[in-house]
Amino acid sequence: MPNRPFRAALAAAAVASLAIGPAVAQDVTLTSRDGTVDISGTLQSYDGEFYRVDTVYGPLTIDGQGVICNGIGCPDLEAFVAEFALSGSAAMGQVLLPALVDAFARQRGLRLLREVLDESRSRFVLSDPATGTDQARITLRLSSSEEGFADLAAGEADLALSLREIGPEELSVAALAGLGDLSGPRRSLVLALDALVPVVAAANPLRALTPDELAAVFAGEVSDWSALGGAEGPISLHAPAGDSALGQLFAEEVLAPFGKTMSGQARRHADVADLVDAVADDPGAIGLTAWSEMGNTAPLDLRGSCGAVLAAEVATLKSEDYPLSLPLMLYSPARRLPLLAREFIAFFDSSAAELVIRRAGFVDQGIDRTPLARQGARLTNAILGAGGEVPLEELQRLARALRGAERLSTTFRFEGGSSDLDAQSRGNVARLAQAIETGAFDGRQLVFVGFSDGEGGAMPNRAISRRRAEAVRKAVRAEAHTADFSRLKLTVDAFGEALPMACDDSAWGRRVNRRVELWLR
Amino acid sequence: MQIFPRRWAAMAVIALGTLVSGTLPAPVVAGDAGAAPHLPRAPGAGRAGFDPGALLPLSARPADRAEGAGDNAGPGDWARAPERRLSPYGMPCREELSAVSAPGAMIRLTLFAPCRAGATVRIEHAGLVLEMPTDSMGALRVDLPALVGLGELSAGFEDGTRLARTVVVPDMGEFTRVVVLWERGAASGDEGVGEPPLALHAREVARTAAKGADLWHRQPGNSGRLLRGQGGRMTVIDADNGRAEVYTAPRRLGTVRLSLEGEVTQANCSQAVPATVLRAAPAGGPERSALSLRMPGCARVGEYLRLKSVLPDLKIARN
Repeated sequence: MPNRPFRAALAAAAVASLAIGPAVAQDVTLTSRDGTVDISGTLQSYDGEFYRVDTVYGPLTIDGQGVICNGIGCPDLEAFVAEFALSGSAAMGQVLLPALVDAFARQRGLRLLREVLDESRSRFVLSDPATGTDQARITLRLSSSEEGFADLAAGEADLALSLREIGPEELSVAALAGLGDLSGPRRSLVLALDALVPVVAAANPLRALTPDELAAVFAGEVSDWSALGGAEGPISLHAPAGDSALGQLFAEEVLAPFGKTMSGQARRHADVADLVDAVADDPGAIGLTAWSEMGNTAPLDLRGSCGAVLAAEVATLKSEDYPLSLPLMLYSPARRLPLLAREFIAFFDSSAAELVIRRAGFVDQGIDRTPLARQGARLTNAILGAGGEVPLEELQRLARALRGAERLSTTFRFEGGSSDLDAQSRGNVARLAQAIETGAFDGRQLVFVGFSDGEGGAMPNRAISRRRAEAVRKAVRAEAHTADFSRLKLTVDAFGEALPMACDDSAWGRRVNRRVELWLR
Repeated sequence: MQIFPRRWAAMAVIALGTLVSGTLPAPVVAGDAGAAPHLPRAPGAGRAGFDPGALLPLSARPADRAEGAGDNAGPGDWARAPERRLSPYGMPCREELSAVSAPGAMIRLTLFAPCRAGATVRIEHAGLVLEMPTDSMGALRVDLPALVGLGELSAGFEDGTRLARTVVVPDMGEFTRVVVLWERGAASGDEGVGEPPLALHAREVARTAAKGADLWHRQPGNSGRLLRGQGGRMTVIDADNGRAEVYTAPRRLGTVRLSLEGEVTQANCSQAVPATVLRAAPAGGPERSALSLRMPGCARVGEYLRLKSVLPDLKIARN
């Protein structure tokens, strides 16, 4: 009779999937710790946690903690080395990943050696400082988001680094390669946040541009600074590579809505570090870069025709109030990674990792709070936009509802033209659910506040924004399995178009306005 | 070599036992460290611990420590424990270590160990380890890059004798700093003739990049530029255990691109080059990382290798 833990281990076998490591068939006998059950077969693999054994019952995956291995095929448990590879976006891999590996090794008390194999490849060797034995070897290849997905599909990487969500073609290639559905809920996570920012030399007096000006400049239709209120002089354009995540984001979010394409005059840079250094040197230049790599240039704010200004800052990137955001994403295939690899991924969500992310120059996703009193600009926008469809009473209702409350940086936004949450917001659902489960908001009230853009009537907009807020609350409730909902209140409110963040004159301005904010009281 | 007469004088004073004992490390603040040459001199009438720039003798032999000559020990302690052993030149064997801050967040180390001529000294500071020999008189003088604003500097000998000083570096916060220590493997055994295959390069993207410099050990910049906040400086320390390349920049200089560069030669192709990188952090001790850099294969001899993505650039923090 199998005892209970062993039955559980056998049950686990049913859900276990592909194993890692060379499949060298050797004979083993796994005996339960109390000696009552043995399973014999040929060992297919051991991943540091699970044995995968071919037996007369078929292939079984058995939790290594519950059994003792005997036989010539048994792995040396002490000598097990977790090996896995990451590949993809150089912007993510260059500074952030090495810093995360370093912090992870430090937390584990492991010694770290980085072997630089060539210009784009490094291997991080984590070893036990006492015995000197290797515990993990992590290979990192720096290329592009696109290459990362290709390496994942080709089996050359276990984790892909990407500055954008996986594309439909890449999805089908990955599925064909047996990686499962990479768009699935547990296949990706947002590590940190970055954004696309237009920049000029610090000596250039320009500080903000409207979306249509930005599009016209990079399409080459506005080619002299005098057209933007500056001194006469030609504008020189510096753009990231067209197939880079930055280049694609700009084409899709800024140029395409105005029916424009990038000017042939733009100087393309493979490396945004070179781009910002060129722009910093030339008062007549304008460039597109990542927030994390602005060098000595000055960022331009995005100004709407209604007067609302969006600046790329830590707070606006966190809340996605700045529209041109780039989530730093990590994709993992639907197969079991070595235990240490899974622990490494779990480490990304720790507060130790948040500090590393900030130090590496990116924006972390820790939940920040801002009281209503410090949101003067937003309230000013609301008052200026009031009248007509948004009567005074509605603004007063908003002020009463949020007075004394704090806005959390966690904000939920939707894919263009849909009611699906975007990547960053899906991550926010999980993050918020986890915070609720740990009791971070016990005794408090969390208000999901829906807002909409200004298209259409005020009444339907209020109804739409309420439906979105309810949907987000439902998603959070569903995700927080272990939370005790008697300890906190989750409520919903909605104000339609009453408190705009951006002007409704552009597609992204409207997308910024369609949101569910989270308020705490 | 004209320093020796003055040092003899200092030694003579010490030998007479007129110094206040400084058995425990005392913080040394050198506000005017750059003004005076850092030669040992007899302290004035005040307590040695409060005399900036003074050389504080520090006894480190376990035997001396065991006598309980503590912080408050007076001159009389010396009389009870006279230094009887003398060097071939007639100097007392007692070792002395001085460490004072110098402009540009440097630490000026002066070590006298008259009975240890040609000995290897292991100097340690905030994770930076350098092994350097004393000269024929048992002296060692070297300017070291500070890696913390308040930290320890120690000098140890092969027999376990270790001297330590606390150093205060008042201008540490004004600079950013990266140290790359190219380790000389015990196997290669060359006596300082071989250069490391790669060198640290710092491209300063100054306000106008046209004037931005590419600093490396052959084009190191100068300390005047550094102290005026106009640019960085590269310094090199050649030690027995390797070469330390130190890049220091004013904190507000802006972006500096760091790379490791060198030519692939018949001698270094396919070799693994070990290095330790230390980066001074705004708070706490420096960040330390161990590297092993694989040189390209011998088919690429003659190529110039430029590794841009190994060291994070220096940037002004925006978050």
